[in-house]
Amino acid sequence: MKDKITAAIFISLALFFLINALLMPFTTEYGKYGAPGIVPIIFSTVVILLNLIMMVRKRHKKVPAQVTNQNKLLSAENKRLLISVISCLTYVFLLGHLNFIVLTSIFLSILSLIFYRKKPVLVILASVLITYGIYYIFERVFLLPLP
Amino acid sequence: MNILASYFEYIVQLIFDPLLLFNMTWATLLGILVGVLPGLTATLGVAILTTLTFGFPAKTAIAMLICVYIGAIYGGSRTAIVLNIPGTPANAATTVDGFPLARSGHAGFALNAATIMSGIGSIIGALFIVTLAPLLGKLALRFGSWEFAVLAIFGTIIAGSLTAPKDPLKGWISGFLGLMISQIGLDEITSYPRYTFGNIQLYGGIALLPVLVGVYGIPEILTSLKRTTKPEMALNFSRQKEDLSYWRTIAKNWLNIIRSGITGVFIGVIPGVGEDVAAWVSYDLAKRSSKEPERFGNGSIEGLSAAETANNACVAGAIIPVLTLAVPGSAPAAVLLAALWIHGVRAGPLLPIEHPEMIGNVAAMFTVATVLMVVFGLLITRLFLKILLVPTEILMPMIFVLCVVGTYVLNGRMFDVWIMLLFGLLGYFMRLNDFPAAPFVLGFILGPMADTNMRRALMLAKGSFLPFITRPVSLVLLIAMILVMVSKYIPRKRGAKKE
Repeated sequence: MKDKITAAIFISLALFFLINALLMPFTTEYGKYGAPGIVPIIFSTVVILLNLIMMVRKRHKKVPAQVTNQNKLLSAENKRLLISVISCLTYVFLLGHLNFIVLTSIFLSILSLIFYRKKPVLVILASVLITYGIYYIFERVFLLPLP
Repeated sequence: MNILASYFEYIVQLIFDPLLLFNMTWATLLGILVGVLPGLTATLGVAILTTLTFGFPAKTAIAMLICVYIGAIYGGSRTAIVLNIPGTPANAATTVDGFPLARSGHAGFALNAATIMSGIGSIIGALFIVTLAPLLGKLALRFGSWEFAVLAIFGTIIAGSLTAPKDPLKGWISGFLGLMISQIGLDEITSYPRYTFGNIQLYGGIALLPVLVGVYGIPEILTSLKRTTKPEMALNFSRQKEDLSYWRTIAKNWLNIIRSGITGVFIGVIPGVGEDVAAWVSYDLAKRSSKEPERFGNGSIEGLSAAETANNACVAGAIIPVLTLAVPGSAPAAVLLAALWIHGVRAGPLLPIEHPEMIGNVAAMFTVATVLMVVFGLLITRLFLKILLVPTEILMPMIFVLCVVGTYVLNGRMFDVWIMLLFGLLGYFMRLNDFPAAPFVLGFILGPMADTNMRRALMLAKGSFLPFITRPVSLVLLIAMILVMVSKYIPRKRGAKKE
């Protein structure tokens, strides 16, 4: 089932590429073989065909996991994953809107403390020092501007 | 003979350039550190250092990137041996015998033996750069648009087959997705904007580095952060067995070491396949030809030697097609290729003409980096393992910030950071569904080459596909591609019937 859903997603993406490639001009100053859509048409068609094969093929079903502990572990892991994704997206969204050193220190401290609930003072101190280290290396040593 | 002579000359030049040697030293240490930390891959290490060496002279930057690459592939063996977690995917085969050796009290011996084997593997690789790269370069000069177009697709399919041996279909899908997505941006022949939808940021296409950092870095960070279990550490250096001598190990294993080195180099030359496959194939070959196959998996020194020699030899193999064909042999080599472009070195068939010193220089850099790696590996390997005491929960957010900053500084725009995140989520989704990342990245790199050459070939032949099968190299590549695809399909059907 998982493969079929993945195949459906990739087919939709390839269809999007295919339709747009078909809308590209077919006559160019280099003749019809220089048309920009030729290769995207080939690649997106191959992606569709390969995913169709994946969708229709028969595979042996896996035995469903019955251990409750495993489900609990999975649920805890998903929670951690969700927190990580949201934190990372928020950090990137706020980059450029807040001062780099302040924002990065807060991001590092919060994300570390959410998962590692020990020695908060040390974690915060380490976060600030690491942030300043990154800032110093990029901005001062390599003269590369940060957001 | 000329190249061999200049190879030694370049080594002397490198040793007597103190600033360059200093930069190579810290880059090697950084590489080992990247390798030691589970979750940080050689690709990510090379990618982050590419941004840091942006303003450096080309020679220094390339030397440092090679150091990080070699260091990271080697450094991964440290965690593979003491933690049973490969520091990089290249060291997965090392865990099979390295960890049992460490658990039985021979951690010190296993770590040092892996260092020596990695060093030998790298030296074998360097010798192949000197000898094989010029030959491949001469062959590449005869390539036309037909060969390059077929080579791009051939590389993607081979990478798909070898990185997803259980389900090659997923490897091929991953590769063709990469080829398809690489078509975004201005078309190289007519300058027609493809899939840009009026967005100026997309006119230049999607940059390689955000894609690489996204596909390789973000899934690792997310996987490490979500993990709730802690690994067992086998840091027991107490026992020293009398029969465990380094020289005796080399003398007993010389055939295994040479075979693994050569296997590593040739697997490295295959586009997109990489060090992990090289290590597994060599491990398998060593097991098949061993007098004691039953010891494999229970702390066999032969197994450890084969895996560690091959993965480091593979690094050199992966660099050979980068230099001569502009086709990367592995994911970190793909970043190296991008770095060469950034520094104005146009890799490919014209490299020996435009930069005749480059091949010898790269081999020399490789050799010096190997010496540094062995010295550091033997002297301060235990100190490096202390880094493992830093909790992943603190380390991974830091790595994420480095990924973001590294991607941003490349062009100074947030657009690249969002692209990195987008490809990171795609990479994570692909990993969850067992799609390998390597063919995707290779497809993404080779896509423009396939596109331009395929259309140029069609224009030259006035729309005829015949030259693809009448030109010998193109025909050989096509036959090999079909054989690879068919051979992957037939055994699966037979296996299914038996079941």
